Amino acid sequence: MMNDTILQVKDLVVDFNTYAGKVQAIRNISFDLKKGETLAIVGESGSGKSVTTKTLMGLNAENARIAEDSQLIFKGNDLSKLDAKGWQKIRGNEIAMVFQDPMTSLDPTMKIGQQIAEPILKHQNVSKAEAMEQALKLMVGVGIPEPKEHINDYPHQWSGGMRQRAVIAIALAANPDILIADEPTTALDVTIQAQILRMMKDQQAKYHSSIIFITHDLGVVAGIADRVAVMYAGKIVEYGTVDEIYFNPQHPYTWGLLDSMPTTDTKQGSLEAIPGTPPDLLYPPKGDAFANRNQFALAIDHEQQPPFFKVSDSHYAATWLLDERAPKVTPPAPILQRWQHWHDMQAQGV
Amino acid sequence: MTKMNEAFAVVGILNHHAGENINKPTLSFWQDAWRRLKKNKVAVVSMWLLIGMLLFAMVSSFFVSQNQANAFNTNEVTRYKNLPPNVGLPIPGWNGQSKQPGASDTTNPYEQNDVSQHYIFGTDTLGRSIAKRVVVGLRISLLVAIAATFIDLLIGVSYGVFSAWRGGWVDMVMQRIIEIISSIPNLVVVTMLALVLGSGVTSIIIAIALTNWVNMARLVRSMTLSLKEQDFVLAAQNLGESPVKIALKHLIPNMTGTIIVQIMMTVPSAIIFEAVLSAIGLGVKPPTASLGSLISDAQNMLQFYPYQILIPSAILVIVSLAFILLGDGLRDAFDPRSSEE
Amino acid sequence: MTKYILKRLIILLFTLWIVITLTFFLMQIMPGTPFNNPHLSAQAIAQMNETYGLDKPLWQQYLTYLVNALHGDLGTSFQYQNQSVSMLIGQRLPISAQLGLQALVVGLVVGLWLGSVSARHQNSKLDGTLGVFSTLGIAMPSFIIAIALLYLFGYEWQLFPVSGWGDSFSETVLPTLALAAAPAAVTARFVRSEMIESLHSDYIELARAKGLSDKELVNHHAYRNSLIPVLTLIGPMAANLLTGSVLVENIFSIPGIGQQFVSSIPTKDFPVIMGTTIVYAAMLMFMILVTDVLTAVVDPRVRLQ
Repeated sequence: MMNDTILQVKDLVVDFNTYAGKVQAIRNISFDLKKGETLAIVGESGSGKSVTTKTLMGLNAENARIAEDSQLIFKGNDLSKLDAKGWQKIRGNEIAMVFQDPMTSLDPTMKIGQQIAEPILKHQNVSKAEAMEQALKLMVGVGIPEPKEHINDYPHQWSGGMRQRAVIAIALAANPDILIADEPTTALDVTIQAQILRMMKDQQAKYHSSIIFITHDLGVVAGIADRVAVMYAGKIVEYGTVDEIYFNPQHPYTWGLLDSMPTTDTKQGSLEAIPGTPPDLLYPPKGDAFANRNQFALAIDHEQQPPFFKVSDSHYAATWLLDERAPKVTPPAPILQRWQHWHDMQAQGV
Repeated sequence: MTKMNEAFAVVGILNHHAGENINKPTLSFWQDAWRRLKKNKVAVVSMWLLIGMLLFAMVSSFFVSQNQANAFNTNEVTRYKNLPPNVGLPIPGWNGQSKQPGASDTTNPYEQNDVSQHYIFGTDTLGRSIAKRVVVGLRISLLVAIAATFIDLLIGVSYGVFSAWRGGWVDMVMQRIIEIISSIPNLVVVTMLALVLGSGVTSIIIAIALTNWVNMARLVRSMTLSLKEQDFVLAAQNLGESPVKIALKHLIPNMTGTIIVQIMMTVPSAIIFEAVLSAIGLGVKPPTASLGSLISDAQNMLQFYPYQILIPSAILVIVSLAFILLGDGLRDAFDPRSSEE
Repeated sequence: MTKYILKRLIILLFTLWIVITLTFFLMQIMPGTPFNNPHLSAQAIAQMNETYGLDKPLWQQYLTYLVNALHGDLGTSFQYQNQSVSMLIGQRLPISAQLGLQALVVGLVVGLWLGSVSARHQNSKLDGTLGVFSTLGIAMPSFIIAIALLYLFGYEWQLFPVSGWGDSFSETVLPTLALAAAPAAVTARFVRSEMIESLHSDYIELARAKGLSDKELVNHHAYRNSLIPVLTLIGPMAANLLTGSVLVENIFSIPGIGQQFVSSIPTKDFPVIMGTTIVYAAMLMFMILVTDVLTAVVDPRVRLQ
């Protein structure tokens, strides 16, 4: 079981020193990633999901500091102790990243083919011609039509969807073990989004890479992820398989996220917004960070941070509601429907 | 046990606004800019220096008049001419001693010519106090530069706003005109205008103003184009406010920051242009002094009496440097993104 | 591309025509004539006017001037009798052009280097020191720098000749440096901010995510992106160089068109003033056209209309 774990994040804490004080962007998270699986990290902006990915790429801003006892074990090595040279060997080679905005993430003055060939030239001992040959294959793989004719195009000649395919081709170029996708479809039209996601799944199957998929949109997650971690205010509040998170959610924040997401399953069709805004991580609250937006908050939520409670072998949630002393609360109706669906699935032995 | 149960009672959201606390007090645009400007020491020093210089230039007209600075005694020229700077203290280079190129010893022209008065910046070839002439010259140069900038502001802002507001062919024609003007070197335009208008302070002001407004007009036009599309301007338009009122109430107030920064760049360039005009013989009429005329008059004396050119040059550089540094500071203060990245 | 250049050339000619027309009529309303020597008899003046065609109706003078200007004939100087303006300018133009180009090249190269060093060491002491120099370079007009260089290197240390042109390269050093200071300062400030913006851009982040080293990031991506916009600076810089060169030529006694321009002002040598104006405008417009075309060639984002 341990052998196919490719990445293990243990007690990750990341602070940012700002002029106003220390912002605690990641407040102790742990998770692992298995070979070939897709892990979705879901949360709203400011939850720390982007900082997590940048930490995994060693791309955090200069004022970021990873705590001493944090560990990022990748293939037996602790990434958090790497120097600049060490990171250069990892980045783009073993861990690659797909950025959010294809309109700005390609160099406007360099031919796209060259940009795709760049990581190949950097990490593999090949000639320029071979690298361009591989770039062409990658362009075919990510579904760029007539790649031969377009290999010498500049980014401004392409649409957003095509550019994002190029960005994905760049990430896949060196056949990475882990592909980090930071909201890769947010900037795109909905119809294009689906195509890109399907293409990413196909490529993943081809290369057997693991994907960490960052998004604020639980709707996107269903089709692509194997497991989901929900982040809130620099912490993971709940994680489990896609089905467990979708149909048996335990944390009120996950309820809120699911309620605010339009699906074909929700018969009511009413969308609920989560009230309030996330806490200021300059002064994180002492209790559960979500307590002040949570209509089901217990008195203890305002005082003490909840530990993880086990729901199943693969499903954990950090909410005092799972404590045996807690009263049984009735979640909102759409969540009850999901629970019902989960119950039926269990009964059918799916 | 009861205590435990209390802890696990559903209490819900205790403080609705906990997450919405805004820790910084809200500041207006100007207060915020001022707060940031104050942190920039160089800009603050430049600002006080400029304020000091402007006040000094104004106040000085009460005790150093044009006539005082221009007058010299024809019979005493040889006695008073070309005296080196002397503060009466044994500071090298500032003690009335002078050493001519090729000479082996320093001499003291003050003792030789039996002059008891100390000229802190020395005297010029006609025996006039350079200190007095620099005071007057600075006053004239600042007057020229500020007046020219003011005119250029009036023309540039109205041209830019009008061009962008009308749009269509009016805008196109007005932009072509600007393109033509800017393809003629400024110096040539200023020279022509100065030739046509004749020499004198007023014609220099007009000549400089008529060349410098183009940059301002371009800047204002591009800002107006983007503001024009914004909701508050569209709303004012729908409410039937007149274009002049919209320009004065909505457009110009929203570009004041950028305009001020542009002014900080225009004033030194006007000061320099005045000096250029003086150097090519189109500046103020002698014996009137400006920083430019002082520099060009002293040019022939460079090898023998370098202090005569050093002092007005240094003052010109300090003034334009102060404007530029304050301009840099203001730009960062008005647009924090430009520096805090 | 050819179509674009042709179109721009037509606009350039049109602008030049407007410049010629404006110059011509401005000269007409100029107070005083070049022949106001009280010793000249009325007859002599009339004769002079006839020689120079000043007795003809205005529109005829204008047409003659325009037609001649198109043939490259800018009239005859009042000051140097029997010398054609085109010849006067023709002799001096190469000197001014050499000085201007030398200054532009030195200024651009130094500015690019200073700007990129500053940007890569943003907010360091080195950056601060270079910033002081580039701000000084902007605040100090070229004639003051020229005077300072002349005094220090010419008179005090006697390292370079103080005047002249054409005898040795060392004569060109001080005037070139004096003129290069401003373009160097402007370029340095511009490159610094462009490069800082580029280094914080998404495409640099993506390039970093490819595993490129800091050096590769700068060489492969940041340089190109921050240097291309520098081309747009060359037009305005050339205009400022023209202004500067007029005084710098005068200070170092360089026989260029600037010096001639200055000497023609007090003598009211209208044909020379007009001729120089037109040549200056043509040169500036040509420079702007060349940089625009160059930008279009180098920058893939610019599409020519």
